[in-house]
Amino acid sequence: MYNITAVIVTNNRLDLLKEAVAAVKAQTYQPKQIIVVNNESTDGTAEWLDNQTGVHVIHQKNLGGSGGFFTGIKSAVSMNADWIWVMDDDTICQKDTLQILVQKLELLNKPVGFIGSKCIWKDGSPHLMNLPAIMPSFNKKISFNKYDDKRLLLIETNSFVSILINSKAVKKVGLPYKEFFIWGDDQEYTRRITKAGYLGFYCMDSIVLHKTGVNYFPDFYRDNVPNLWKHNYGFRNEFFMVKKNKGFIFFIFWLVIKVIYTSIKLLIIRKDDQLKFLRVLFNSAAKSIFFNPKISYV
Amino acid sequence: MKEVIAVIVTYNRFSLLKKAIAAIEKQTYPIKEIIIVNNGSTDETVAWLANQNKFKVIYIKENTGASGGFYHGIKAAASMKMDWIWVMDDDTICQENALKFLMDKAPKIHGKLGFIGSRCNWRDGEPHLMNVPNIKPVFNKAIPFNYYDQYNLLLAESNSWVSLLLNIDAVRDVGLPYKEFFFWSDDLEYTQRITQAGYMGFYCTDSIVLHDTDKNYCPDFYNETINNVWKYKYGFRNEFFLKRKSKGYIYFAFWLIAKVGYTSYKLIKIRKDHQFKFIGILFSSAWESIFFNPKIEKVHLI
Repeated sequence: MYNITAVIVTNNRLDLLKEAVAAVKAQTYQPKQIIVVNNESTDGTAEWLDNQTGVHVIHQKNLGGSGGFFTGIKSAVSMNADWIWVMDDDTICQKDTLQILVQKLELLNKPVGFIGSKCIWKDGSPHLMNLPAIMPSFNKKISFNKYDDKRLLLIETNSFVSILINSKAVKKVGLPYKEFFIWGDDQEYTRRITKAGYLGFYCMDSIVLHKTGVNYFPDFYRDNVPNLWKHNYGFRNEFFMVKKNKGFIFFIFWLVIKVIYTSIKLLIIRKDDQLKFLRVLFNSAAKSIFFNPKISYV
Repeated sequence: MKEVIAVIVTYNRFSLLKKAIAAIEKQTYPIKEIIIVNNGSTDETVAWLANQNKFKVIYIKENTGASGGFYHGIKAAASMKMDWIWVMDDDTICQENALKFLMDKAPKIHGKLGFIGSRCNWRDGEPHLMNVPNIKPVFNKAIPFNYYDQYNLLLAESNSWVSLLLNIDAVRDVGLPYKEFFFWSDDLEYTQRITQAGYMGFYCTDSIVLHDTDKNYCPDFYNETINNVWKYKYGFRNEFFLKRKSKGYIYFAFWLIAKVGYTSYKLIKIRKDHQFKFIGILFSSAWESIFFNPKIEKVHLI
């Protein structure tokens, strides 16, 4: 038996959370513990959680998805989990989601860093926000399709919407950046794990429902104004990653070109609220220059 | 039942060719006709093929490279009455069900289907490094790559010739491969042309072929042997030409300077022998790519 801890991060979505927790409790392969990180919900989530049995609840300030996963993964490792099964409060697992992930792990006699589920939307088609990144040659070494007879693909990154993470990898690479707040945290973290030499997998047979209102991938040029604030974090985190990977000098040149290119494209594509959108772009570019989060280790 | 024509391109590899043909003849899905393109072979292939009446043989006097071979083979197949063209090299040894699995998948797809490629293994059962498909999270910026993965199908932007099933509608729509490429990047260009024309391309994980090469390797310019370096004349020229074609001359000019500069710099850092020879190849192919202007030829129906 694997010692698995499930981690769910929630913020003001009590109805969805109830469904998500029920789905985890109904797994044919049971995690040893369930941790729910409550990101300062104000909709009665806290009271509901405090009355649940079999759920370890952590209340904290709203630190975004990143801060939630940071806390959840950290607690799971300190509770001696071997594997940490991470998801959002709008992730509704199928009964055998975890069992299939575990079965696949047993087929592999290798240092696996993580294994992610297939994430679908309400209509059964794949969710556009949760697609893994595939390179022909994983880590420039192994063909991505080496294990596809087991219906597993080697991937460079995966989203946090149902992913089973090896606690050995967590101990080696540290925790996700809580400062990301939202967006880009899962990509950065899973890439950090694969770059450290662990294998990352996408599992076609383990399936979860990502129950969002629409199935869409945020597109800066066409996004609506209520969603715009999220791009503050998206851009800042994306730019920070370039700085981290390529060094400061390359980053500065790259940033100038990127901001100019994105501005021109924005002005061509959208005709309303141009200034609002440009402001977000320039603000996050400026912030990314001084944004320097540090990795915390467990 | 949908009709399939198999196309094998061969050049001076008689014993492999016989194995490849034997594997095709054992397929569990019926093949209407086998076309063998004899791409200027000078070994026993010529005499042997002359005595065969089971196949349609296309003789080309001089070796025209894989690109020329596939051009002639697909052209011949496309003028016949059928639904699918199944192309491969003479060192491709298919498993018995390779075609059946490909054909079983076609009806599962809704929409325009362009090609389905097999999984290509080396002798030890590992994937062949020369034949790994290119997968993007969102295919053609429209469909998630895993939309059909319950059928062991992944949407792929491009695929190699080494077991590739082509839909005749797509071939008639986008034309023939560039024969002028000679070799390298011809399959990448052709399959991308098909997907960019709005057809879906797939990699099929359970249709399996053996790519029977001596080594399992993907060509790497920086660490290449001196005997193989001439191949990069074509490789670079084709790669650069594709950049020019997709991005236009102005972008291409800047890109080419940066690319040649960077590649030369990297080469000098990585390898210590034959530096001039290697850089000479790089520069001459960059020069050629400026004037290289092959034209796409359409299929003529008979």
